[in-house]
Amino acid sequence: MTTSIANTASPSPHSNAGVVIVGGGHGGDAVAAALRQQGWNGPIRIVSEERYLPYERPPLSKAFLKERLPVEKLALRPDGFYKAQQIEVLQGARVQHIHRSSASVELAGGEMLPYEYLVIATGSKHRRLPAPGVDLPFVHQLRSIYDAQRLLQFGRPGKRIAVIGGGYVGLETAASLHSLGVKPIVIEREQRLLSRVASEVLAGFVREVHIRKGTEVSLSTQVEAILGQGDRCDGVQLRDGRLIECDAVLVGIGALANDDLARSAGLDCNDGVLVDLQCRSSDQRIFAIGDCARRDVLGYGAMLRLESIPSTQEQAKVVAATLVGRPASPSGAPWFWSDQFGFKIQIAGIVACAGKSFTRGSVREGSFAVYHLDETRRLRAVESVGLAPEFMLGKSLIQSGATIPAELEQAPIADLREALRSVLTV
Amino acid sequence: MIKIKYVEANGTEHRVQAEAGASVMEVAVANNIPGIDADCGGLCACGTCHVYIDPPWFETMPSPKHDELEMLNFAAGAEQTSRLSCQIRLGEGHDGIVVRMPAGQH
Repeated sequence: MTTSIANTASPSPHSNAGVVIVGGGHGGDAVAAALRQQGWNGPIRIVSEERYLPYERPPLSKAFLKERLPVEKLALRPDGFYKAQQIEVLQGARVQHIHRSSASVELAGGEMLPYEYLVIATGSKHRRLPAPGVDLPFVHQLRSIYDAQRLLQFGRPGKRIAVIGGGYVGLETAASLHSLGVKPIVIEREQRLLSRVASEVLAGFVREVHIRKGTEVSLSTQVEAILGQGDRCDGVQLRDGRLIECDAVLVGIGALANDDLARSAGLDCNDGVLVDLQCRSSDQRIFAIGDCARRDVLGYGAMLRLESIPSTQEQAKVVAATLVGRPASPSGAPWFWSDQFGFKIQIAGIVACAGKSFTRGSVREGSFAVYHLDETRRLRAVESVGLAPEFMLGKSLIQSGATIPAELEQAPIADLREALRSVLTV
Repeated sequence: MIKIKYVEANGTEHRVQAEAGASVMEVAVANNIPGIDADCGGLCACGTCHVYIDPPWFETMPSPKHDELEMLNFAAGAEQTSRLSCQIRLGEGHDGIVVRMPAGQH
């Protein structure tokens, strides 16, 4: 029996039931592993709809397509890991309902699984394109191994794929398929790529890179319908009258929280389960982490739903520490990475939360960093391409709450670090 | 099999065995050893698998590549014997290697 001073909730009706985790993705794996690392010795069960044990998703739009990485290489852990860690994974199982009054979850077959604590790590689902034809069999999304395997069938020279949505998933997939000889056509509704997540400088650079490779990028373009019949794709009909002929379509226009279970159980949600700094929901026994959770991101003063593996791992550790009654180690600045045509893109902090910006290095040469400051010149985000030191230092400076004096904007990075060393807390 | 000793910043030791060819990061993840986060899964993109390699093993390792050096030069708490554990492939010569973790990876 695990002792816990985690919260002030009344004793659970199932004090030996341990932790039940809904979702077998990065988050589910991370919280289970973190619980064992931090000394939780009660039962841990992961309920996963997947046929595969937890696997890495970022390579699905990258190496899995480009290098035809075998499925086994995607596994987050080696064979035998979960057994050795005494983590039970219920594969191919779906939670149908959370019964908060009896502290149990009901599986699709009717089986009831009691919990002492419940962690919701159900991730996100793709946003549906509101256009006729979106359910045709040649229209793809990219969230799972199955999606990626289906996409690979089109990974042959001479094929054309329309990519609807110029976000990271769409662009990474376009770049990976391009390296297999496919001709992608990127269709973006907004005036620029990566409109919700990147600065204009980075977005402009990414667009240049794709165009230089021969990819068509169509901005400010709306989709009217996807045309075809059965497996025959006739193309994407645009509102401006053009028809983009292609062999398949990928839709990547963003994601929504998979918070249906939480909402139907009456937990507070708003495109994501609303959680506090300990990742606890409006029910003291239920936590949520990862893509399906919305939390105050320290230093940014906003409730944000981050689709980020580092952030999920941090949240997993926070939940584990809370459940074993230990203080959680402070969180780092959120960060993200992407890889397109060999350019390493690393982003620390949240670009949308800043105002003023300046660029270091050379955008033309694909070796630059965009620094984003707030009105007090405090550093809020750094987007770097091919300049890892700028990312590494930027991340530390963001976490330290450093301000960047105007005269240091173009200082060599070693000088920048020297000048700010006294404020670096990490 | 190669014996590895991981030492957490608080002194807790973890002794494990691994096959040649695995990276120091992969072995830590496979054994659920705390202190190595490996956020990016081994792409030399995040610097969250930073470790210190005890001499004499540090001396025997191939030098870090450009990418790794660039990350290490600006990693918090970096020292002479710092490496990114995702970039170190274990070979038979590493039997008995001692790997120490920093206080934090952020």
